[in-house]
Amino acid sequence: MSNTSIIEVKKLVKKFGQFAALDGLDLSVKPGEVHGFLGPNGSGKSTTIRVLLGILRKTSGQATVLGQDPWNDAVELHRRLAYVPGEVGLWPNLTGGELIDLLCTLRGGTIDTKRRDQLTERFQLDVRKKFGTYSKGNRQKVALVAALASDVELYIMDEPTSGLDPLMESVFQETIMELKGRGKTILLSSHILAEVEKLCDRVTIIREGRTVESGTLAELRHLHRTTIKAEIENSPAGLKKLKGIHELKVDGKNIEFEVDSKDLDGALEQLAKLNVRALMSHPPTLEELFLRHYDEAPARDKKAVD
Amino acid sequence: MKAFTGTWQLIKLALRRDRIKLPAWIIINSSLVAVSIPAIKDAFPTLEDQITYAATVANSVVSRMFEGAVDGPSIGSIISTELFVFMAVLMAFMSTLAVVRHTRQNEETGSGELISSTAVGRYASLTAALAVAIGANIVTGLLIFIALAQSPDLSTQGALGFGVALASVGIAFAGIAALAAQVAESSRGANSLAGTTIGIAYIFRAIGDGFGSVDNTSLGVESMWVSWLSPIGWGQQVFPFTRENWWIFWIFAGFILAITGVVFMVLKRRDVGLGLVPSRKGPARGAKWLLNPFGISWRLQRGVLYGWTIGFVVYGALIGGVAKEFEELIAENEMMQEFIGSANATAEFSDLLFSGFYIYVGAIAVGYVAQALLKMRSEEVKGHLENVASTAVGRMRWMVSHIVWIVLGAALIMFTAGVATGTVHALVSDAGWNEPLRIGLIGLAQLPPILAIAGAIALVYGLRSSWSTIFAWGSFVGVLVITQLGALLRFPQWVMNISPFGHMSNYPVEPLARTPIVVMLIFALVTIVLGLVAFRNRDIETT
Repeated sequence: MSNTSIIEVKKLVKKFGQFAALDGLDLSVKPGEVHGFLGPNGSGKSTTIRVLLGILRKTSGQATVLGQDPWNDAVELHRRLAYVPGEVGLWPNLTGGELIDLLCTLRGGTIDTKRRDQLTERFQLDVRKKFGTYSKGNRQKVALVAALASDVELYIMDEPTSGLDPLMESVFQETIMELKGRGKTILLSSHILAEVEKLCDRVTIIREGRTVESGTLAELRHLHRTTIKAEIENSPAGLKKLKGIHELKVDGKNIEFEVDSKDLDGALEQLAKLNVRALMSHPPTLEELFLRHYDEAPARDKKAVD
Repeated sequence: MKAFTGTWQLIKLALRRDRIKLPAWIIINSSLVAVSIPAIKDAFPTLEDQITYAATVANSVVSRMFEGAVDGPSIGSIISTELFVFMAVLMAFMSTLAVVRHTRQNEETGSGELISSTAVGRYASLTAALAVAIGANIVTGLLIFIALAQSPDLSTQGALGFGVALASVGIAFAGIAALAAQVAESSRGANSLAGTTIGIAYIFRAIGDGFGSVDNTSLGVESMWVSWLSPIGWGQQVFPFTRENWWIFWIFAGFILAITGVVFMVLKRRDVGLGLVPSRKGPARGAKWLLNPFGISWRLQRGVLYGWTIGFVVYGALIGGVAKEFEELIAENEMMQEFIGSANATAEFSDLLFSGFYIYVGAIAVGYVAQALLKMRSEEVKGHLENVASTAVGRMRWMVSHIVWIVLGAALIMFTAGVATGTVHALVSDAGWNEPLRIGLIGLAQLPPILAIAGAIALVYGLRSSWSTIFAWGSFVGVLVITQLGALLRFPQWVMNISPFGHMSNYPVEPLARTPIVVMLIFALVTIVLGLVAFRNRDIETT
């Protein structure tokens, strides 16, 4: 894996009038990885993607995609990437088949008819229907097939599976794994955490236009707390004084608490003295990880792991 | 009555959404009449002036077609002739745009679906749209009545009749638009359908007046029966200051009741969001011609162009047919011969006629470039542009791909209108078969001012997408008002100079002046290039 990033964004700012939609955002996507791009609604994911596509012009900061400037080198750049928007707006009177051919050709490539037909088959898309008559999920499929049928280096997807049924969702995951196997890079913005957990090598979480976390899932977990539940005979008083213990709840003999990963040793030592009858522990789920950021007050703990 | 539940809330919603648009329409429409009254009185102060006016209009096919039938020498009669048809078209557009906005457009954007799921009846949305349109027409009619009633030369009853007649035309077209909104599946389709109906109504009225007969006073015109096929014609035939044909209001009442009945029947039967014509399956593959920016823009632009081409061919043919009558009239009229002869000895009568006609045709063609250029804005707002701009299509190339078709389209409609005029003229007179090409070129001669305005619109669009709609339609209405009413209202020269059409030489009566053509073409080129550069450097508007 080379060190040059496919997407390199530093201190990116995009203002609409006075409002800063992006306020010093960082993002780094390495070659060959599937990178999860997460954040609550309105946190600036789509704005970031549109800056990366040269649809919006950055106010300040740095943004490079495939080593090129997304604003000045838009056309050259777009030959090398494919984009799936979150809400697919296309001409209602053209058929799905026409639109797929159109988008593939406009990206500058010739149409790989075999791959296209394979994909429409796998996604079960009736290409003869007009776009205006498709359901939301089927509209999404048009953009997906058009992107996946294009042989490019980078795929940028903005909530590509919204509206897909579970069966199609799993087809989508298969195709992404295939792309990854072929060494392609994918930036995937999504709210479906199971999907992110399954597909992504690394994730970046943003909030109010800033990056709050970035790293592999293991790294992110490491930064966070493990939950421990136990049934004990002795009094848990000793635990309270310990460093790194949070949210201790005592209910008779049952206790539950969270502990910072680095203080796990001390906590287990102390626990051993309490006459443990039963013990259960689990690392932070992705959901817990996200929820903490999603409803926390504005990014005060700005950590980043590289 | 459950089907009407929620109508009042939807009316309030529509009024809230239209808080700028409708008042603007109402104020512009009523003040156009208000400012014209003193202007007309100034222009024709004495009975003698008024007689001359009536005689001129009654004997000029061109005037009859563009302004309307005249009915005797009086201020009231002149106001009817000069203002009624023009105002009726404006009232019709105010109504159709409002009705489509609050019916089909809601369904298209999906807000109609959400509204249907709340506690509102099936008929509420349409009823609210009609109520708002009818209300706007009544308020405008009332303001026009008040403005006319202030004038000592006009009877209160006549003033009221004029206002009611205009409002009636507007309401009739609200009904037509409601029907169009049921038939077409997109708001664009509904608007073009309703707009086409207005055009047809205008043309029927023009044929009726143009081919009508001059009465024995030679100061009045009896329109041909074709006028009676047009709601604009009905309104005009009321002649509120002279003939007082109040019974015509029964026709309006019957028509409006009948069409609303039909609309509600259709509405009861169809599904929300769909039209009457179900969508068919299409090709599974993209045709080769489609798969590039110029292919898509052609696919998007061709519908508008087809519509305007058909309209212009019909209009052009009509002019050719009328020209023959006009020539006969002049051949019989020594006074007119002298008049024209002294103005320009070498000009043929028909040349004078065609050069006059084609300034109007050119001004109307501005409507085509406005509509076609605004397609770019709608592509942007609907998110289609985002999809294209994220492929390897440069933004400037995308914009050029639209402008190229529009420039060619403007040339095409002007040329075909001319060819149609020439063909018909050659058929009915002994002008010879050079005529189609000759008049085709007269049409093309109006291209520079059209392109100059197109360039200005492209520049505004490049600078800021949201300004382009008002600028484009404003330019169209501005050019129309200056061309149609400028001389009558005695606009100051600097206002007249805004319209590029006024700067052209009167071809073919005068030779083509090179300077204005070169200046306008350079202006068009520079503004388009600046527009492209500005567009390259701004954000794409996203939803």
